Amino acid sequence: MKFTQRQTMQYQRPEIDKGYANQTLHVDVGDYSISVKPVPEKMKDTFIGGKGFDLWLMWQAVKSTTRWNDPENAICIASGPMGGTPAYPGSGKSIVTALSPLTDSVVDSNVGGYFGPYLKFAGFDALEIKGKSDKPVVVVIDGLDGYVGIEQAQDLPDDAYALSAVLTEKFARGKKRNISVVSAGPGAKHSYWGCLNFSWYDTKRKMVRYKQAGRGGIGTVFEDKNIKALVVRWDSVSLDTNRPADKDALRKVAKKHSKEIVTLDPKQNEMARIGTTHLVSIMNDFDLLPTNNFRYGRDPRSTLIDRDVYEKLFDPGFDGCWMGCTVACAHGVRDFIPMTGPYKGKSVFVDGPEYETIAGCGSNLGVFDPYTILEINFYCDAYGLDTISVGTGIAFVMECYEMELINQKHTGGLELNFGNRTAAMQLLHQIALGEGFGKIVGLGIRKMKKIFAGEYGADAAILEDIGMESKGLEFSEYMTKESLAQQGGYGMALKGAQHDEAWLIFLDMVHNFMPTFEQKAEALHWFPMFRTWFGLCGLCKLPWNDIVPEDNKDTPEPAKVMKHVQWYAQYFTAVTGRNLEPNGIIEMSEAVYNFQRVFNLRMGLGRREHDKIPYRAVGPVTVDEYESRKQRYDKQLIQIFGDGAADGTSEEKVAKLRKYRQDQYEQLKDAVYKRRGWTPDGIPTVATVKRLGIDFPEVLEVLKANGVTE
Amino acid sequence: MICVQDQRLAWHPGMTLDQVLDALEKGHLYAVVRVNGKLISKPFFAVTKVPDESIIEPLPLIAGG
Repeated sequence: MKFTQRQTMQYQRPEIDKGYANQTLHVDVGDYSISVKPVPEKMKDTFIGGKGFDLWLMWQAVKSTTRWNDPENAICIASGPMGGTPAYPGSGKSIVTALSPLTDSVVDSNVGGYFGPYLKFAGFDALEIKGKSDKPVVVVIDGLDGYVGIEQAQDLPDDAYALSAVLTEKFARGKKRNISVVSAGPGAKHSYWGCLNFSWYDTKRKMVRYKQAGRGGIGTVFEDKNIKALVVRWDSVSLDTNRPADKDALRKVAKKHSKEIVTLDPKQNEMARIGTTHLVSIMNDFDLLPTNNFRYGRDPRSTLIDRDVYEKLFDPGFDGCWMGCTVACAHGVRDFIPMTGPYKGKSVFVDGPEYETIAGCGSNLGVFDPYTILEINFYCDAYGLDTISVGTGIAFVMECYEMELINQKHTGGLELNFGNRTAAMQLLHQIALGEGFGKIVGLGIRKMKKIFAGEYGADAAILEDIGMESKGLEFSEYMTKESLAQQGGYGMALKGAQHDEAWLIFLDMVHNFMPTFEQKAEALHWFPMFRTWFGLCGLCKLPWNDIVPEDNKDTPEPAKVMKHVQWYAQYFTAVTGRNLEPNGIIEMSEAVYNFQRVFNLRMGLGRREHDKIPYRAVGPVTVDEYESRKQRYDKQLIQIFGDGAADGTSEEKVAKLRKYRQDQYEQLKDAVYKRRGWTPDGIPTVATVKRLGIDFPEVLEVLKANGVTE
Repeated sequence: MICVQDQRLAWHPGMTLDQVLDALEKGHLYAVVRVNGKLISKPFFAVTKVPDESIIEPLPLIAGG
């Protein structure tokens, strides 16, 4: 490998002050420029950090006409004021944003690993990268030497697995733990499903590990800019590194939360031992495990891919993706030997799988082989591909194949029946290399639907029903047919169909805690706002509600885990010195949340019509689906329409249920928009943006251009 | 006797999981319970027999994801 310096900048590293470096780093790989900008107090007050900073930088970087592959599209990475705190569980997150090739609007993706915290300690609250390089480049940020460089790179490995290891070795100067690398891979270059791998060095196993910023194709933007990798170098981290305003208060609240997790996680979800794999059997039991492209929610073979299986496969040990996190859920499998592809026959370490990958690349494909799931997981990471979009995308293709909407002429001979794991692996390698049918599939479901209908003559209406995407982003792996609130959680999520804004299925479907539209709307206000706050601060949401106090059930609103909300407010105050009460968290998030909605509007999305979801997410599309749960659906029809409603053919009942459920979803939108202070068309009102302090002239211009003046 | 969240409760032959949870204050809030290390979900509470000396831990899966 060979490196040629194209640009360097020496800088005086600022002392961190109350969680902030107070400056941002701007790199243009097109003209090889590097600059630093101060962070004004107003920016901190309004946008807090993390995703808020990213969105503000992007807002200034792009225009309404900018597309994902234009040089001015920016990739922004930021942690947040609490990011990099080693004592408080889940405090090492980075948030990444860019204009997405899948959605044509701004997308955000959160990720573990050490990059975000190291970036801040190196002197920058956020990194903005623009431009397009004519040659592959590596951007190096060395916080110890006060140096930023853009280096042309030759003869580096293509895949993330090898590339991160090589770059860690090169830049570590003997201390590999000091390095974090961001990279994508060939899959990101050849498809729209590119993810970013964020590394950290596992000192116990003496190897580079990874977490993924998976959603929305940001890795594709990264490859399009011809960036091979970002490298940051920083040294040891302590509670002092983030220079909190009140170290004693921070230590006290961090100790409480950390100790509670150590005590209760073994009794509750056991995440430190088995990650999120416990969800497989639970989702299956409640008919929520996506199976065969979300047709069904249950399969008896799910026991072959559940926690008991992966518990035996995981390499035991401490697996935090940031220092001192006691949730420590980032498990992996040692000495796995792939059966296909460039690593065939070689021993590798697989980082994962988590629930989403098991469900997406397993049950949703009709694949119930834990080793195939491991192999897909490994190659998605190495190729730089999002396992969720890959899983949901291939599931869609398999159903199209089984419904004869496409055939072997289109697939290049691949027999893409559900359960055909060999074909699934072949297709994955094709996607990564941009070859054969994989080249089409890697464009994502929204574009596949157009191609299948326009060029292959497939029925456009059925494609719309079964193509599981919203705003262009493939659904993550939960069934929503029986939870109207979660349909809203996916459909009204700002970036597309991801569950990180709201996960309301149990509250709604199992417990029936929110029977009215107003109650559902309240939940679809509070939960997205609260969860947004984690992304502003550099935090992981898992410690909030995956391990809860034993007396949580005795509180007035157990779903909110208010004891933890109180701790988070104390945590924020201890780090930043800015007094925050629990209720203030929601208002903080609301400003950024509404700003992102206006950003969508500016990019041509962000209206009611864009919050639509495919009918497969709402109810049974086919007679087969209806009849598989006939008792349930017949009973519902009778409850809704009265005796006799379940008479008639299954086709008639499918149609009747569809009309009712689609109407319910529209009524839910009305209620949610009203609660959020939006117009019936889903646009924040002028009064709302004024209340939240985001009534900048350019925001008001966007609203005015869309007919909103008050 | 059985042990539920570190509390001892009387056991009787044929005791089912939903009977155990009915005996708890706000036991209805639980959707998933670990019985002797095995996860049991609500749809199976009524048909799951609880052996004597069982150790039961309700899981807080309520707003996860």
